[in-house]
Amino acid sequence: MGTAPTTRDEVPADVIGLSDLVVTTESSDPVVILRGVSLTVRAGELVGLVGESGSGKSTVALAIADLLPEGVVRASGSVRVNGEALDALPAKRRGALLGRKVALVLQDPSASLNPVRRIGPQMIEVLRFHFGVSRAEALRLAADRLREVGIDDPGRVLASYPDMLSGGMKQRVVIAMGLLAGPEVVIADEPTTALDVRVQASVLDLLVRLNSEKDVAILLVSHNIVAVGEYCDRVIVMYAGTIVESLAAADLMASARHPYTRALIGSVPSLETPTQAELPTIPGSPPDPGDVLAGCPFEPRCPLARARCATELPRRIALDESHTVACWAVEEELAQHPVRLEPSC
Amino acid sequence: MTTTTTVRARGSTMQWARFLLIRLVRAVVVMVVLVVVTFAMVRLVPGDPAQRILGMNADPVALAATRERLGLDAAWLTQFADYVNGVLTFDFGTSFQTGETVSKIIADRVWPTLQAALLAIVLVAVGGLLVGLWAGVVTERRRPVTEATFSGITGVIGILPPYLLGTLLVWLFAVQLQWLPVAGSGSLAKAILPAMALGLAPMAMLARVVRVETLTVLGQDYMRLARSKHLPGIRLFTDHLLPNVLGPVLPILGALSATLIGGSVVIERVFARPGLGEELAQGVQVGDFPVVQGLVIFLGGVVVLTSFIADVLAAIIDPRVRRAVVR
Ligand SMILES: Nc1ncnc2c1ncn2[C@@H]1O[C@H](COP(=O)(O)OP(=O)(O)O)[C@@H](O)[C@H]1O
Ligand code: SF4
Ligand SMILES: [Mg+2]
Repeated sequence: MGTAPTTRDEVPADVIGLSDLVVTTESSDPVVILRGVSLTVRAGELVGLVGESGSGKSTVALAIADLLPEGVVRASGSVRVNGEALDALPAKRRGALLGRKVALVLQDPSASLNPVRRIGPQMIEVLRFHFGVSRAEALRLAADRLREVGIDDPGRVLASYPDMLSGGMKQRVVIAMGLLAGPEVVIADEPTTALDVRVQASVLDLLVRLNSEKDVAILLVSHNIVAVGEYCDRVIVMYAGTIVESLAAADLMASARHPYTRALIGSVPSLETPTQAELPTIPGSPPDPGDVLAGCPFEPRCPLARARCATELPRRIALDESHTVACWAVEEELAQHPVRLEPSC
Repeated sequence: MTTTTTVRARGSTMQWARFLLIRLVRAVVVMVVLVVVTFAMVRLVPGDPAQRILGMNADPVALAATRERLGLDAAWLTQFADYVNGVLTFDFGTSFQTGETVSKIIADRVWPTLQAALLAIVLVAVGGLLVGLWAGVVTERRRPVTEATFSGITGVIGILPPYLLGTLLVWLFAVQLQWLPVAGSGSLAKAILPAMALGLAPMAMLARVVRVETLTVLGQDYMRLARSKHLPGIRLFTDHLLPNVLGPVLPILGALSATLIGGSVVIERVFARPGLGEELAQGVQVGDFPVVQGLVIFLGGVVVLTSFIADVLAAIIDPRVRRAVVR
C-alpha cells in the first residue's frame, strides 16, 4: 500500500512534525523528559494530547515553540514547523517562522498577560514587528479578533490592564492575541484548567469554532481524555515521556487498545457518576523523571504486563492508517493476524 | 465605545488623583513629625546656648539680653509658633553664632553634600539595576557557579560600612592608582570617591534584589508568551522584563536614597568636603538651634521628596502599585 504518490490536495501538509524527539535536562547526569516522541499535526487538524500530569505534554508544547526552559534541552530528534526543520534555520528566520505560524495559549490566563501593560499594546506586538502593520491598523485588527472570540466591547478591553479582566476574558484575549498573526497552529496547553468550571466549556467551544471557521490547526493539551475525545479529530496519549497510543477521536471509546488509554478513559468521572461514588483511579503512580526505564514505563501499573514488558520498550505499531499503539500485549495479540501488523515510524 | 473609553479614562484619572493625594498626605505627615521632633530635640539637649555663645564667665545681664535677642526667653509654645511660621515661608531664622541666615548657609553649603548624594543615587540605581539584571539573565542558565560568585561578592560589598569602603577606595584610586583626587570639593571628580564609598554597599544589595526580581519575572508565563512572539530582544527587555522588575524595585531605591542623603552628610568629614554635615556638627556642638533645625528639616524634605518621586515613578510604570495604594 501507499505506492501511489500523494498530491498536496489530497493530504494536508503537516504544520507540525516531531520525529523521535528526545528532551533531557542539561546536566552531567541528565534526566530524560521526552523519550523519543514522534507526532504530526496536519493543517487545520484538531489534535488532543492527553496524559497524566508530568507525562511531558507541556514539554512537547514548548519544544515545538522552541521555548524549552533554561536547563532543558533537545538531545536528539527534530522539530518541523510548516515543513521547515527548526535546526536548519538561522535564529532570525526561526524566530520569524515561529512568531508568525505558531501561537501559544498557556494554562493560567492570569499569568499569561504582562501585568504592567495595557491589553492593546501587548496584543499588537506581533503585527507591529513581524508584519510592519501601523499601530492604528493593528489596533483595529485586534478589536476585530476580540469580537471573534466573543468580546463585545473590544475598546474597553484594549484599554484595560490584564488584572481588570476575568479569567475567562483573559484567556479569550490570549487566544485572540495568538490569532492576530494568522497562525497555522495554536498550541493550547491546558487552556481551561485554571478557569472557572462554568467558562471552561465556552473556551473549549471557542477553540473548536476557530478551528473550523479559520482552518487553523490546534494542538489541545489536556488531562481529560473524554473531553478531548469529544472535541478533537485525533487523540494522542502520552505516558512518562512517550507516546503510547494515537488514534482518531471517533474511535477512542470503542477501539483504544493501550492499557493506559483504557485506564484513563475509566478514570474520568462522567455526569452520570454519582458524586459520592468512588472514582476508579489508576493504581500506582507514574515513574519518577530520574528513573532509568529499560522496558515499558507503564509496566509497574499494568494489568496486562508480561515478562518482556519489564525489559523491552514496546515498539509503536500501526493498527490501521490512523491508529498506532506501543504495547507488547497488543502486539502479541495481533501476532495471530500478521496481515495487519506493520512497524510504524 | 467612545463613552466606555471616556468612562475608563475618567476612572483612571480619579485613581491617579487619589494615589497622589495619599502619597502627598504621607509626605506632609512625615514633614510635620519631623518639624515637631527637631524642635523638641534641640531644646531637650542640656545646656544654654546664650551661655555657650558668651562663655562661662558671662555677665548675667548680658546673658539675659542675649536670650531675649535669640527669642529663648519666650514660652515654648510661642517659640514653636514662630518657628512653624518661619518654616512655612522657608525662613529658618538666623544662626545664633554668626548671624547668617540659615537659608544662606544651606545655599552655600548644600552642593558638596547633594553632589555626592546624587552621584551615589545614580550609582546605586544604574549599577544595581544593570548588575542585577545581568546577573538574573545569566544565572537563569548557569546557576550554581555564577550564582555563588555573585552572592559572595555582593554579600561582602553589601556589608562594608561607608567609612571603611571610603578608606579602601582612597587608598586604591587616589593613593595607589592616582586616578582620582583624594579629598576636597568643587569638581565632580572629587565627588566620585565619596559617592562610591556611600553607594557601593547599597548598590550591591540592590543588585541582589534586582537579580531575584529578574529571575521571578523571567519565569512568568507572560514572559514565555512574550518570547513565543519572537520579538526583537530589545523589545522583550524594554516592554516586558524591565517594567516588571522596576515596579517593586523603585520604592526600594527610594528608601536607599534616603540613607544615601543621610550618609552623605556623615561621610563629608572623611573626605574633607565643606558641606552641610560640617555645619550640622558645629550647630549641634554649640546648640545653634536655628541651624540644626533648619538643616534637619531641609535634609528631611529632600529625603521625603526623593521617596515621593520614586513612588510616583513606580506607579507610572506599574499600575498595580498605584492600585495597591488606592485600595
Ligand atoms: N525545567 C525543568 N527542569 C527539569 N525537569 C523538568 C522541567 N520542566 C519539566 N520537567 C520534568 O519533565 C516532566 C514532564 O513535565 P511536563 O512537560 O510539564 O508534563 P505535563 O505538562 O504533562 O504535566 C516532569 O516530570 C517534570 O518534572
Ligand atoms: S507493554 Fe506491557 S506493560 Fe506496557 S502497556 Fe503493554 S502490556 Fe502493559
Ligand atoms: Mg503541563
